[in-house]
Amino acid sequence: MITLAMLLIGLAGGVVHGTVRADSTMEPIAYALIEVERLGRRVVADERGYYVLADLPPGTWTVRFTAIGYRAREVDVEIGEGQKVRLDIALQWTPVQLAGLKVSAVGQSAASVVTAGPPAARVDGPSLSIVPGLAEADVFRALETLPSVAAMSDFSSAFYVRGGAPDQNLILLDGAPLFNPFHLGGVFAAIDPSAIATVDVLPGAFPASAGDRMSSVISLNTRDGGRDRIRGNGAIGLISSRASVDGPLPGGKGSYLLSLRRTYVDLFTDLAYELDLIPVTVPYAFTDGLLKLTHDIGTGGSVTASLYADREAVRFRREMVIEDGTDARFNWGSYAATLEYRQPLGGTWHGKLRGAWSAFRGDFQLWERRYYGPDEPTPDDAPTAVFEHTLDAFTHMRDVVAGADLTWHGRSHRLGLGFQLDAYLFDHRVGPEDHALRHAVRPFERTDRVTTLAGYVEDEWAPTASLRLRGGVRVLHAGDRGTVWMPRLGARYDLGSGFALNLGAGRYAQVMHSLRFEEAVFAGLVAYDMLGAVRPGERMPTTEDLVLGLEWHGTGTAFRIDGYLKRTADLLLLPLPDDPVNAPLVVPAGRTRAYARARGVEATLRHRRGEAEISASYTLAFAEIEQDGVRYIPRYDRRHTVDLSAVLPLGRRGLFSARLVAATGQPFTPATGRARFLHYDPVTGRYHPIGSNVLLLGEHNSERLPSYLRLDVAVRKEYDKSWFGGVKITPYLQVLNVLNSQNVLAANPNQQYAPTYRAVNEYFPQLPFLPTFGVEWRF
Amino acid sequence: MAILMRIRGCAAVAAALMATGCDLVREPTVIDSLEHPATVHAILRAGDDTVRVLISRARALNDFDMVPVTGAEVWIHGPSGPVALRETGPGMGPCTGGVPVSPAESPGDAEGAGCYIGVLPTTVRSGERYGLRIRLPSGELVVGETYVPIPPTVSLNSASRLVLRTGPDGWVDPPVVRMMWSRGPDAAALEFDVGLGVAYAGGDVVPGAWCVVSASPYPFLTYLFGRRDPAGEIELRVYGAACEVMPDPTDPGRVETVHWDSVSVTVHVAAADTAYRDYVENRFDNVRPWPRAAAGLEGAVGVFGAVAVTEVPLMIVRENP
Repeated sequence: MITLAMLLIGLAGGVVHGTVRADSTMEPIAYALIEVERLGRRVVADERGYYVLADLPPGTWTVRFTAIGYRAREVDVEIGEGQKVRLDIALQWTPVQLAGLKVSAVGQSAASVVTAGPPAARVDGPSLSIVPGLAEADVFRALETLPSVAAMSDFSSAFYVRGGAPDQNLILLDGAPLFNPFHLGGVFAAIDPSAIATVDVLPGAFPASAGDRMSSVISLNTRDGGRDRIRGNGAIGLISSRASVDGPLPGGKGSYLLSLRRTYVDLFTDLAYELDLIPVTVPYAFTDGLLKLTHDIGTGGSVTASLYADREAVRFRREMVIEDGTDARFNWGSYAATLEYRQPLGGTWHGKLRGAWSAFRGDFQLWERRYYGPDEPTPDDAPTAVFEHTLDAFTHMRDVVAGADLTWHGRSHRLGLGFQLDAYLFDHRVGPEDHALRHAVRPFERTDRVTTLAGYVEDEWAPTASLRLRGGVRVLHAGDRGTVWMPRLGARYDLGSGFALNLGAGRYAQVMHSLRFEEAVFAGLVAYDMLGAVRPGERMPTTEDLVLGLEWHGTGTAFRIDGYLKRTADLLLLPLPDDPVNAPLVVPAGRTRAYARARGVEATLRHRRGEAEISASYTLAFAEIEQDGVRYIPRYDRRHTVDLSAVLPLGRRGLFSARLVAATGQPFTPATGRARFLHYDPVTGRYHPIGSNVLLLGEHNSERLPSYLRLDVAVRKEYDKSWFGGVKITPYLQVLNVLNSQNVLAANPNQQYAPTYRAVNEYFPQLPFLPTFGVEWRF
Repeated sequence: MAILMRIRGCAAVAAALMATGCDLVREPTVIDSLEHPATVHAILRAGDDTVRVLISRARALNDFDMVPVTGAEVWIHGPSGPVALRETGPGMGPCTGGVPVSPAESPGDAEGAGCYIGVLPTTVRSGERYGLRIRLPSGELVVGETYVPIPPTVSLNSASRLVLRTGPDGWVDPPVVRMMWSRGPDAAALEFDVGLGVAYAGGDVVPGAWCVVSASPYPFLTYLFGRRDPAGEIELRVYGAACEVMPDPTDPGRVETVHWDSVSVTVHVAAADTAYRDYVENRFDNVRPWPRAAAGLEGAVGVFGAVAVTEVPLMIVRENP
């Protein structure tokens, strides 16, 4: 009915539609703004640069195209009654554009002009290398500059968004959901930042088209690759090197992008070991790669295929196995493949078909030399000792996706509808019963298969030039796990003088949950997750949120403040740990239902003057979980966070960037008492003095760690070299934690021995002062 | 020259940066306001008519320090009605079998006992419910309740006589005894304990000697079987035994190894109630959450629990004495 009404409304006028591209590479420009000022009409291109101006009255109209980093362009279009005009446009890149950190949601945001509800925060690809990272430019670390996104520790890139745990975030790479896209336990994102065009972060109040996780949707959109010539870029860092190449496909109607990265710590240490320079090697390596092909089809249609893989491995050298008595073969990594077909249909309709396959597989085998006998083994006994299989673990998480979206563009309406089918497999096996890592991961076997079907319909309506409304509903059906109806609403009202109000609300659900023990202290060290599905017959967890925001855009200055309320029901969580420091990281079963609430305020001020940009953000967040009648603050909660960053020109073609983060310490469980438990001997019926005093822990997470402070700085400068026909070289130096703040990962209440016998909080450290350097290159 | 200047500049920056940081780990901070709650040890054993309750508080003068809580009023409520327990001394010895609980510097030992003993009209009976009520000198009330489990059933797959053989390098082919056990539904866990053995030489008991039996799984440790295992088995592999005697009672530091032909040892298999099981877990951990450090109790930490013990005698015989 709605569709029919929209069709009737929109059939009368003419239509201008097409794709906005960069004039040099002919790559699509995401989220360009297209305006017909005389008619007060404004639309924004989608993530692949496609736009539609529908229901234009007959006449000659000036269409203005603008995009951040590109010179605006105006084109006169003559259009007749009911005529459809295809207008593909190329915008010229502005060379004076400083490659600072551009977060468009608070800058001159095209999307926010025409999107009803709180807009996504967007970070563009070139900005990712500006944020200092641990030896490598890092996609996820750059996202932590957003006020909605927090990390548990310096060592883990797993996101905590507005009080939600990492399993509630949907990370998409060109539309394919990724499981565990991390390297080195989460220190790095397993995605080459140079392959990224834009990153969109939706921290709440999602539209109905957004996928099925409760906390956030993070879309990593890769570059298409240039259509004019072959380009290359890369970097040589302390830990790894990366290189990517892109260029046109034969025929000029398509492009390719190939990106590869590999660490070489293992190779270097192997060589040093061979030369007898070091006693042990680092038997760890990671690799990741991305191949993307894009090709035009028919009139305005395009097909995109992406392949992504990341691999990590630990394998000991034979000599070390014999010497240490331990042999490990660990292999794990993520894979994803997507195929997407987009096609404009008659000017006002646009269709999209997509299929994706994504998996994370890990195989962990450990052998240890064991000796059985009445006495301790002597060196002579070693040959008779046997290697026992002390860990046999396997994990496989998979999602096969098929979906379609259809969008209709009217004069004041944009109607979208679509569906998505997800076939999930979560298959884990950790054994044997007494395996070597059982203190961290309980032995278990678990296989969950679940297929979900989601459908949505949503309309965005602009009843006046200053008001936009969005309303829709998404339905998630998960078979015997139930069906959840999720209304989604959004509104934006331009108050004038650069001010705008945003309002959004919605309901969200997901069928999976983490098997991690989020309240275990060392869960904050590792980003990898093992997922399971809600059991058949049980309800899926759901979140409801309400977001209210105010934006202001001035000349070179932007301010945004958002307040949110959020509540989650039917969370599946483990009972609180007896001892959070020694609690296992993964526990497969025994979860109970919990309820979570979060509320907060996020404010960002950004100012750009010339080539310099400074920004400041503040986050006030309250998160609380109620479980088994107990209320507690989750371990990842930070009450106050201040994030200041600056990007300043440094001479000609140089750049200085700095980021200062100060935050409240995370909660921990303090020791509040001391007791002595004696040993009871059932033989004599007496209490024997075996064992010493123990500390008694108080209320869970009732105290906070010392506050967090970290200053990172980076300098980089670009040079032109004539090598290989012309190369731009950019050496960089980054220093993490310049102030060497003794930030704390966790506190461990413990008792000191003689002479003090004091009870103390011992602290596990975060990253110390750490300089890193490298060189980027491009041609 | 310009290059040299640039290198010098970079070196200066690097040195300044490096100088800022060396201390990676934050120094521990002292927890200065710990409470020392009353700790109650009250475990009933099926078949006993005497009940021992030890009440103490930990202190921080050393790792093991604890002081008795004297002047408390203690009652056990059983099927035959309440029985008041009497504080007895010297020190905590009657509750601990005379083994000193605190080092000599603890002044509390001299001040009071903390050990409360009472004799019930009938022995502690399996399948019955018992209550504990304590009024501390400070006026606080401690209450608890326990259900005495039924003793477990234990059978052996072979004779209880184990023969140890010796080879040129020591014991060979350690004998194995498999114990099949089952427990009642009211027992939350089982505890296996290999006791000290009695040495025999020439068919007679060696006076004053005690024997430590080497066995696997490890001797003298507690094995708790989970609440979901109504029956199971455990293999005890015996590697040998070492027997010693104290020749001079006035010199407890001097012990001598004694020759033995056989050793008589008893494996005690105790069925435990939930509180006892939780208490054992508490005892093994360095830290415990306060609410769960009280097993079967309210108003104090510690335990009010019950066990029912089955004894399994074994005889270890040397093949070539």
